[in-house]
Amino acid sequence: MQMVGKVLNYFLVVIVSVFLILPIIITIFGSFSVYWGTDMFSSGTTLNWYKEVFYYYGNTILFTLAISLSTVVINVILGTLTAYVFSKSDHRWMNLIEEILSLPMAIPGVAIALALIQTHSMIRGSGLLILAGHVIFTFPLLFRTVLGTLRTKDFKILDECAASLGATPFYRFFHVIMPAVKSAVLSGAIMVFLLSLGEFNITFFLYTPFTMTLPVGLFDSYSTLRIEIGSAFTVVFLLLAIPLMFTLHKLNQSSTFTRNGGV
Amino acid sequence: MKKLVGIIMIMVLTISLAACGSNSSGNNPGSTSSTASSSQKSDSEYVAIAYNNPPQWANWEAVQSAFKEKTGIKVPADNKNSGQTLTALIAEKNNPIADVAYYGIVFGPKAVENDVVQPYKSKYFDEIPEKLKDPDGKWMTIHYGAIAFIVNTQALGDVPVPKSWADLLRPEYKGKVGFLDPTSAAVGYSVATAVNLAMGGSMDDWEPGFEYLRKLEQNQVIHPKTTATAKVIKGEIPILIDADFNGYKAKYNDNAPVEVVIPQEGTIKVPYIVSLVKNAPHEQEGKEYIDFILSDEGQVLFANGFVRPIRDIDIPKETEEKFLPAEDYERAKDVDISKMNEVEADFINRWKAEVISQ
Amino acid sequence: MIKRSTPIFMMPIMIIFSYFFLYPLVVLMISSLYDDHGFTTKHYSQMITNPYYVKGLINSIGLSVSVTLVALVVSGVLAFFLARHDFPGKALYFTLITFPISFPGVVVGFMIIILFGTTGLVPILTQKLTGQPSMVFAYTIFGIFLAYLYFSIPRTVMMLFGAIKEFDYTLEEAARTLGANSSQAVVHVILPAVLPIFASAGTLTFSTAMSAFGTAFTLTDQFNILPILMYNEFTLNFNIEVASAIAVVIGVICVVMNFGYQTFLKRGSY
Repeated sequence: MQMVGKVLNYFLVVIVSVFLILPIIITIFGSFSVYWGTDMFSSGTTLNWYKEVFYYYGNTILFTLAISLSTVVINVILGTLTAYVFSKSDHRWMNLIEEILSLPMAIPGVAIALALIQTHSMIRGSGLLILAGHVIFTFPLLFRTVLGTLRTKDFKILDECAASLGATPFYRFFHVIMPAVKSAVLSGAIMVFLLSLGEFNITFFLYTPFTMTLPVGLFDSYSTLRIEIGSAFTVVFLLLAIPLMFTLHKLNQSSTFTRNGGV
Repeated sequence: MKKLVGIIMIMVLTISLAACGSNSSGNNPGSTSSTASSSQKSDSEYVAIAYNNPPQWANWEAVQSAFKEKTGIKVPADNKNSGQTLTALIAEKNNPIADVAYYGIVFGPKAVENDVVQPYKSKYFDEIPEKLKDPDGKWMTIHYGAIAFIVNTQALGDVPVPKSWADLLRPEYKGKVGFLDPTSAAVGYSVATAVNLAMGGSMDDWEPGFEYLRKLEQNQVIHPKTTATAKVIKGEIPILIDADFNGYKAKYNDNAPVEVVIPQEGTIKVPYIVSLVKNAPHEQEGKEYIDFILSDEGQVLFANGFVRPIRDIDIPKETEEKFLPAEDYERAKDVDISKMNEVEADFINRWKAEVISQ
Repeated sequence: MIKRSTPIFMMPIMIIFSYFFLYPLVVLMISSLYDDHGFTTKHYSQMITNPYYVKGLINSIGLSVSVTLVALVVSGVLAFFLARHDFPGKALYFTLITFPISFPGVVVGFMIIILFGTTGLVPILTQKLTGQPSMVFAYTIFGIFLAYLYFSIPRTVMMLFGAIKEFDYTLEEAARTLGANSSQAVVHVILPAVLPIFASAGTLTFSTAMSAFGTAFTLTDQFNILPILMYNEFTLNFNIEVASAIAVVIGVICVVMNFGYQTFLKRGSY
C-alpha cells in the first residue's frame, strides 16, 4: 500500500512536470522552423522569425521594459514607505486601510481597466494610464512582502534601538530600515517586474497602437501573424522572465525572512 | 549571485539593443488598420492613427509604407477588429484617439448611429457605388472580398478539398471546420449570411440558414473569438470559412499549403469601409490617408493584397492570375447592408438559442 | 500611537490610490447602475434571471472552484515532494515550473493548443499509436480547464512550497516517536498546520481564475465565462453599463472569497 502511494506520488509529479514544461520546449523548437504545420522541420530551419519579431515589435519590447521598470521603481518607493508606516502601528482602522490597500490583488484586472477607461481616458494616449494600472495592480504584492518582513520581531527591535539613540524617523527609514529589508524588497521587486511584464488583462483594454506592451504584442502575433512568429516572440519573453525567476528563487533560499514563498 | 544579476542585465541590454537596432531600419508595424495614437508626433514625423490596420490584413502594411513614402505621414499598425474598433471609438468619444477607422460595412450605420464619425467626401467619392457608401460621406467602401473556404491541404491529408457548403456536412470533415463566433467577430455573421443566401434563404427568411448551421454544428465546428488566420496556416483549423483575401495571402505570401474555394451554392461579397473619425486629432492627415487609400496607387496595393479594389482601375495581370477565375466570383452576391444591420440582433438571439448547444 | 511623521509618509500612496483606484472603482459601480433611461438595477437582476448570464456566472464559479481544488491537491503533492527531496538541477526545475506565473493568458492558451490542439502533440501521438487522432481537448471545456490548471499550478506550488519548506519537522518527528506512521503524521500533524496557507493560496488562485480573460479568449468555445461576457458587452454591444455591472459582480465574488476565508480562519485558529 505504501509502495503504491509512493509510485502514484512520483507519477503525479512527473505528469505535472511534463505538462508544464513540455509545451515550452516545443515552442522554443517551433520558433526555428520554416513552416510549423503538422510537423516542424520538414521545411527547414531559420532565424527569420526572430528578425520579424524585432521588426514588428521592437518598439513594443522597449515600451514594455520602460513601463515595467518604472512600475518597479514607483512601487519600491511607495511600497516600502507604506509598509514602514504600517509596521509601526496596530490600530483597527489601520488594519482596514491595509485591507483596502491590498484590494487590487482581489479585484479582477478587467474591472480595474474598465474603471480606469471611464475616469482617466485623457492620459491613455501617452501610455501613462497603462503605467497607473500596473502600479496599482502590483502595489499590494510589494507592500505585503515588505510588511511581512518588517513585522518580524527583529526589525522592531532594530528600529526602537535606533530611535532610542536619537535617530529621526527620516534617518531611520533610509539608514536603518531600508538596508535591512533589502532582500525582501528585491524579491518583491522581481515579482512586480515579472507580473508587470506579463500583464495582459488590464493592458488589453487600455493600450493604443503606439503604446502596445509585450503581452498584447504576443496576442497580436499569435492571432494576426503566425505561430512561428508567436513562438519566437514567446522565446524572447522567456529570455527575460526565466533568469529573473531563477534569481528570485535563489534570493528566497538564502533569506531567512521570507514568508509565504516570498509572495 | 552577482554573476547572475550581471547575466540578466546583459540579456536585457541585448534585447533592448536588438529592439532599438531593428527599429531604426524600417520601423513600420504593418497593421492595416489605422492605429490611433492620439497626440504623438515623433520628431518631424506626422502621424495619422487608423484603427484596425493589421499589417497582414489586406496588405495594409504596404499601403502604410507607400503612404509614408509619399507624404511623410506615419500610420502605425493596429490590430483591433471591426467590433473593437467601433467600441474604441464610442469609448473615446470625448477624447478621440483615432483619425480614421476601418471596419466591415455592417458597422457603418452603427457608427453613424453612435455619432462617432464625420462626413468626408474625397475626390474619388463619386466613383463608389451608391449602395456601398453613406450619402453624407460618413463611411465609404474601399475594397471588398468574398466569404470563401480557406483550406489547409496538408492538414487535410488524404481527405479531398471541399467544394460546396453541402460537402462540409460530411463525416470526413468532422472537427475540421471553423469560422469566427458571430457574437464576437463581424465576419462570423457574414459567414452565416452567406450560407443562408446560398441555401435559398433571404434576409427575411433565415430558416434555410439556421437549418444548415444546426446540421453543421453537429460536425463539431470550432468558433474562434478572434482572427484565426494563424490557426489555418498551422493546420489547427484545416478549413476556415473566412474572407478570401486571407486565404490568398496565406498561400502566396506565407507559402502555406492553402487553397481558396468559393462554394458551389454561392456566397456573398464582404465590403470593408473607412470613416473619418469625429473630432479627429489629426484631421488633415486622416483625410490625406483616406485620399491615398482611394487613389489609383492605394487601390492597386490592395489588389496586390488580394482584395478587390472598389474603383475600376487596372490590375497588373500577374496579380489577377492569382485570384480564382472570374466565373467563380459570379457566385458571390451583394447584400443589402441596411437590412443586414437591422436583422443582426435577431440573428444573434436565434444563434444563441438554436445553434449553440448549452 | 501614530507618530507625527507618519501622515507625511502616507500621503503619496493615499493620493495615488484614491485617484487611480478608489475613485475609478466608484465611477464603475455608479455607471453599472445606469442605462439610457436613468437609474436602474436591471443590469444586476439580469445576472440572476437571464439564463445567458446565469450560465456564465455558474460556469465561472464552477470552473474557478474546480481548478482551485485540483491545483491545491496537485501542488500540495508537488510541494511536499520538493520539500523532502533534493536533486541536481532542482533550482532550475523549480524555476521552470513556477515562471509561467508571468505568462499572459494568450500564451497559456497556445501551450494547451500545442499539446491538445488539432495538430497538437497528444493527438499526433495517439494517431501514431492507434491510427486515429484523439484527445483533441484544446477547444473543449476540458481544454479550458487544463489551461486554467496550467497557470494555477505554478502559483499554488510557489505559495505552498514557501510555507512547507519552513515547516517545523520536529513536530512530525515527535508524532512518529509516539507511534504514528507516515500517513497519519501527514494527515493529523502536518496538514492542520499548513491548512491556513492552503486556504490563502486557494483564495488567491480562485480570484485569478475568476478574473482570467486572455486564456479563454484564445481558446475558442461556447463555454461562456463572466470575463468573456463582459468583453462581449463592452466590445460588441458597446454597452459599458452592463459590462461594468459584470465587472462589479466578478469583483464582489473575489473580494468576498478573500475576506471570507480570513474571518473563517480566525475563528478556527489554533
